[in-house]
Amino acid sequence: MTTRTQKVAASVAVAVVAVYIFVTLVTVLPSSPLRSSVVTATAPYFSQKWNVFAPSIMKTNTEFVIEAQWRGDGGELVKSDWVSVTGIEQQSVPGHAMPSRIQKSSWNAMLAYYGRYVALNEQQREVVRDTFIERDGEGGYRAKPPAPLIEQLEAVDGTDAAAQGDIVRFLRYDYMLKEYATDFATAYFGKPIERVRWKLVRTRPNDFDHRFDEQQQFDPYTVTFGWRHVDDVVDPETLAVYDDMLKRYGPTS
Amino acid sequence: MNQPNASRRLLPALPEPRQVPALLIGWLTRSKHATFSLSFLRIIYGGIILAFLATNVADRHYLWGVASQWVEPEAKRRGWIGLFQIAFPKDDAALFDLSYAILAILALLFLIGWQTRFVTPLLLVFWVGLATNSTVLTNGGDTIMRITLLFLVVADLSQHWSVDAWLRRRGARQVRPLWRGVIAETVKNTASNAAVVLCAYQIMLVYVNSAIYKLSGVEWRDGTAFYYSLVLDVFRPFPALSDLAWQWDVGVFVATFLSVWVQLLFPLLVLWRPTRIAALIVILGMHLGIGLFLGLWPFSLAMIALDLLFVRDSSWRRMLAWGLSAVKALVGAVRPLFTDRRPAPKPAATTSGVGAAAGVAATAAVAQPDSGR
Repeated sequence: MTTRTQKVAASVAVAVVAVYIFVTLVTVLPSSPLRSSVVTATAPYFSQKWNVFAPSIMKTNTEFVIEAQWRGDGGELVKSDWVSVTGIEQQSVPGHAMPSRIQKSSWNAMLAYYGRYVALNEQQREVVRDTFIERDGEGGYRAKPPAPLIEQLEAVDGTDAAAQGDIVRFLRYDYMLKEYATDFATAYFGKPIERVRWKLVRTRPNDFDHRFDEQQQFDPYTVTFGWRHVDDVVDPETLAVYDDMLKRYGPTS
Repeated sequence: MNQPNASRRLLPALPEPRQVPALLIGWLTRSKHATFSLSFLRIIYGGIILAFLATNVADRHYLWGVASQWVEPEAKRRGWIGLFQIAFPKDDAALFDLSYAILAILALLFLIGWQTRFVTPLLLVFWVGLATNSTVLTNGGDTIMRITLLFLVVADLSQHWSVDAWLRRRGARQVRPLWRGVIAETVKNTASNAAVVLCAYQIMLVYVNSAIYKLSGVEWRDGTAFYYSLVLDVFRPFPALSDLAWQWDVGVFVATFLSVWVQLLFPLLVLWRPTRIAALIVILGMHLGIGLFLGLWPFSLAMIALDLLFVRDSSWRRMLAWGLSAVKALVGAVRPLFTDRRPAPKPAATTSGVGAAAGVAATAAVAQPDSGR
């Protein structure tokens, strides 16, 4: 025989389960009028996307490759070689059953950055592949401020209100990568870095039907971005962490 | 032929519709279900977090600490409440390390099942705090653990293989007023069972949702997707093993098709015992493969632990009893190989008798569920 307590307890449990099922189904289903309000109300804790390796499985390796400039003894700009941040971070993978999560750092960052880059139109992409450096009026250089940069990108033909969000989202990630590249380059080259730039390199292994071929089926796809001005000093604590990481995974490890 | 009677004969296990509410209330409130599975899940989750912290300990400041400031413009826009943000600051390495150590201790306490009711919510706060500190490091394993850990806060995770259970067996029972005890027991049972239902639903959601996405991808339909997952640098912990795995066409096709169809049909397959066993075996194999070939052990083990929620307590008891018998038989077979064959000064029967008695006692302990509930 069921008691009142049992009925109340079971009713609450069923209600909670029902609400959760409703919320998640609305969240994972394609767009519906309810979706945005439900997602807003339940994010970020219950945010979830289960399109892992789907619908089209990932087929390319994505790399974050950086280059830096610093002032030489004579005050001239010295340019470094290209260095693959992703290549160094992914030294953590081979031979480790459960690799350090460092394997995903620049790899995921470049996937997000690339997604925001392709959201721009062709003319905007051309602008962001250029340098973000300008003369400071005193014979030196400085970073282009964000406001005129946004204006320049918004002035491109065909930019609507939705595209303005894409511009800001791209520039925010671009700024983050500038910081990431600066920290990394400062530790890697051991110099006070004045400018950084990077390229996104995507390499695709042969398709299934050509998996035994010696010859590479696809050429690497590279997008090189322009120079970014470094306007802040890397703090010693951060530098020490990067130095330590490079000792483990870097070329001298 | 009388149609209703024929239907009843064909579907004898189905209850009358009017009985369903009472059966549901009874199932939810009278006793706790999946107690062995929940205890196993507790051990696996604790182990995952400990292994995760150990493998990332050298890189912790690079990934989440002072050297990860660059990710803040995105991370702070995610809208996480302050509770999850205070534990792992990016501007205080000492506090970060303290929180890292506390998280490791909480994971250990969770694994051994000490004060689980209090440790679980604390573990949730610290674990989610770390996992959400960056936007470039999370994966599906972090998401599934974040969501299910919240449900598990109200589940009874320490019925078996835990310090709590050991202490309950040793300690005297507390005498409480009957009405209070019954109400508390009903609420506890219902909360724990609701957590089981929510976790079971969550895993089905993951599988079905993921399978539907996969079916709309060409490589999943033509059976070659498994190959592509093996050739990306980021998912090649053992490159030689990965390269060996994709050499065999049939293996690639079977692995691809099974991973899609077992996921898609999982909610149906778990309804009938024989298909449930088959589905669990295939899906456990799939997750072990993901762990071994792709190095995604936290995700794989979390999914395995959740899959095993579909194993009943009675099945666990049978499996454990069988396991103990097998171990005893193995020990019995191996022992003579290491026994000194010279005549012993005293009869050896005394030692083997103690061992046999201990074995019987252990089997009996498994056959009897913990009564401290």
